[in-house]
Amino acid sequence: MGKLDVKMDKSSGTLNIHMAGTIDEDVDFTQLNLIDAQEIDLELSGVKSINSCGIREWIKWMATNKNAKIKFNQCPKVIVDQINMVDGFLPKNGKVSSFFVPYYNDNSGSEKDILFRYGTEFTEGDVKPPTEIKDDQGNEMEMDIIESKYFKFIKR
Amino acid sequence: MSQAKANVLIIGNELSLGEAIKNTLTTDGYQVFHILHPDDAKEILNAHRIDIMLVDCMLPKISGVDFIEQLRKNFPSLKFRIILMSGIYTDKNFIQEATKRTQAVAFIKKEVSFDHGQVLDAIHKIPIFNTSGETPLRKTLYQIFDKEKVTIREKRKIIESLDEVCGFDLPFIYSLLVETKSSGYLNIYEKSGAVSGISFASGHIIGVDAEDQTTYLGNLLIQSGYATPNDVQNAINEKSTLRLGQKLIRGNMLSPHAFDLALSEQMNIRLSRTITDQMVKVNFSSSEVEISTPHIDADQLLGFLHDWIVSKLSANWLKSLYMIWAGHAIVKTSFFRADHPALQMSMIKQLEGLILEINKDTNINKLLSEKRYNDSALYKALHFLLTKGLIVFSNAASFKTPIEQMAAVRKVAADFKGKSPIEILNILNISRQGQSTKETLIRDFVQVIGPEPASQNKELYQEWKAVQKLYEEAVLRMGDANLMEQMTVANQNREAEQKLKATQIIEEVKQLLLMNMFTKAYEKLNEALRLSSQVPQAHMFLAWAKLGQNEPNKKVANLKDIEFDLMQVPAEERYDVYFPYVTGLYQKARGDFNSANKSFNKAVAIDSSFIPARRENSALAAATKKQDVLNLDLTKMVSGFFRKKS
Repeated sequence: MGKLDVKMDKSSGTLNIHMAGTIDEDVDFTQLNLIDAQEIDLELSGVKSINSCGIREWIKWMATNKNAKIKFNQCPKVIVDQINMVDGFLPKNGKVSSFFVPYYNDNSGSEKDILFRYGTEFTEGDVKPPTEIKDDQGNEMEMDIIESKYFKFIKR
Repeated sequence: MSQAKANVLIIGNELSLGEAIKNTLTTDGYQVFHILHPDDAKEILNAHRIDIMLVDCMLPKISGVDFIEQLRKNFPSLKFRIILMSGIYTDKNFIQEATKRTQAVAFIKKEVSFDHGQVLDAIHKIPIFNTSGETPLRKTLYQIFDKEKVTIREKRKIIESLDEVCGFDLPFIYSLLVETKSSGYLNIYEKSGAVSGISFASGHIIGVDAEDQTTYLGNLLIQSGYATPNDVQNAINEKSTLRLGQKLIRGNMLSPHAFDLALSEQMNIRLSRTITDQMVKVNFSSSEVEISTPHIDADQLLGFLHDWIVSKLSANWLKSLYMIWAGHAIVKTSFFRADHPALQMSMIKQLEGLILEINKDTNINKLLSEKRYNDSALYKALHFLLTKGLIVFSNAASFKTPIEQMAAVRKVAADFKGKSPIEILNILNISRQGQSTKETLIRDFVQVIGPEPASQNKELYQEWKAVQKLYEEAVLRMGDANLMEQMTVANQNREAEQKLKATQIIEEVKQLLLMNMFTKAYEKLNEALRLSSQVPQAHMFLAWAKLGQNEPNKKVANLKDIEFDLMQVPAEERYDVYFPYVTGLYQKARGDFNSANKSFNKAVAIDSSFIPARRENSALAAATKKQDVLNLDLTKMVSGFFRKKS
């Protein structure tokens, strides 16, 4: 699979797919069969980047199973951006279970990704960020994203 | 003012504290209501839209937490954010529980160190109301145009903050990504669902993935002189799975280096095709990408950037973009130096004395009023210099005298005259922005026409008021979403129809030019350009028509105009038979017969049946032969000297 490392395993009716690396023109999703799955759990924390070719391939791949429940877990920023931008990237039968929000401290320059989980930090149409995030030195950190843009998929 | 105009309701029975917080928030631009008793909330909520509620955990007769739970039950349709505060209940468990039950976005402890600024900070952090991406009249992307020092992180943040942009914004975005030495993928999403992408590696453009994969390669190799028409034709005819370039290289008909140059030019063409007047969504994802060959580096990009700005960006769009800055002084930055390669670009050199003008504390209004330069050329040159960061605008409009302000007001009045509200918003590029509040838009309009003048200056005051009123009415109409939608759709349909009509006219023009009917073609071209400034091939044919009309008394001015017309031919239109042919006509008009001959040859190489180029070549050859005494046979030459005059 080139620059994308994919691990798939099926346990108790759920197809678990773990992805890490770059989704680009070298990716061949035809090797990753989704067709028979009832539930699909995608673990995406290791996805580093995706380009336009990768986006087109992803949408085609997601459309190969329109009935399964697809969960997007631990989505990094690059995946959240695509969910917000591209129709079909998160299919109608898909749902985000958790995603990362980058935090930043202006003074120390420290960066940290915080996991927002469904039911805790976000629900349908609502975001409840943690009251306080601190870096390793105890500096208070701020979200390093444009909230109105980044949380758009939650408000849909 | 990032939280402009959110409505805040404070519920808490400490009168002085509530009023103090109210004052702080009001000063920061919020509409604030303060009630002491929760029973009064119903009345406020029925009468006003409340965005944020600041609730004390200890209220008369009820806890703040219970009160909010009841409120959410009784007003399920209302969307408001809760900030809890308490001076008593400050232990961690209570805060967690209360925050969870009320879905509060913040909890403020009213401890000894409490100050009202904490409330402000908490509100600024609320995602839904934090409008740091707010675009008032000035689009976010171009906010650095009035900042001399912008860090790489700030530039990257600007790129990350982008969502929907106009295709005309893309040259600036490409330039920013190269300048910031970015690595990653810029994905461009069109409304049709098409996705294209540009790959960047340490500030080099290494790949352009477009839906339209037209290669242009054959014509590109021939026109650049890297390969002969015969070689290209033979390679195309050769039965092999290899690609055209590989076949030519294997057959020693093309050098690998020349092929890389051709591929860079191909990337340029594909990038150029992304620059349209359509709205697109963009997203840049940083990633480690290795530099590969061929690529476009910063030096090459400078030339391409110049060409894109000149050939693709419409003057009207630039005019809208710069309306907000038209009265601001143009200032050189520390990056400006006399030998900067950007100043050697043809557009800048064509506007003689522009750099000297910039030294004289000038602004766009002044430069336009002097009528020294073609408006379109001026906007494009300034946009190029701003994009390269060589100049910026001063922070405030510099109307030094009422006369200057009057000129600015009258200019805007002329632009607004007879326009519908949506057209007025279009002039300022507002209708497509959609994120600004009406108040911000109205407030920022003073950047364009200056502050309200004193009423004693009757004429200026009245004209200022009239323009402001027209603008305010247009902005207020934005509130009627249905009407705006209808007007936008009607506008888009009209533009599409006009573009179609203009394209049809261009076809007629082509036939007229081939029949040497230049005056008629010129008239038709102007008609087409009035309908749509973005119609393909218009500038190339305009140059052809002007050259064909050949008015000797206007020759110098015409040639400058023609040079500008040719500059405005985009990269993707330069690889057909017409561009080298018209370039040849221009070179011939300038007396550069050698270059003209080469250009006509290129046209013939692309299409050997293109008679006008063959005819021009024959005429040139005949004329050159006549004048070139060194090529004459010696006997003929000597006899020529002594021939008896008839």
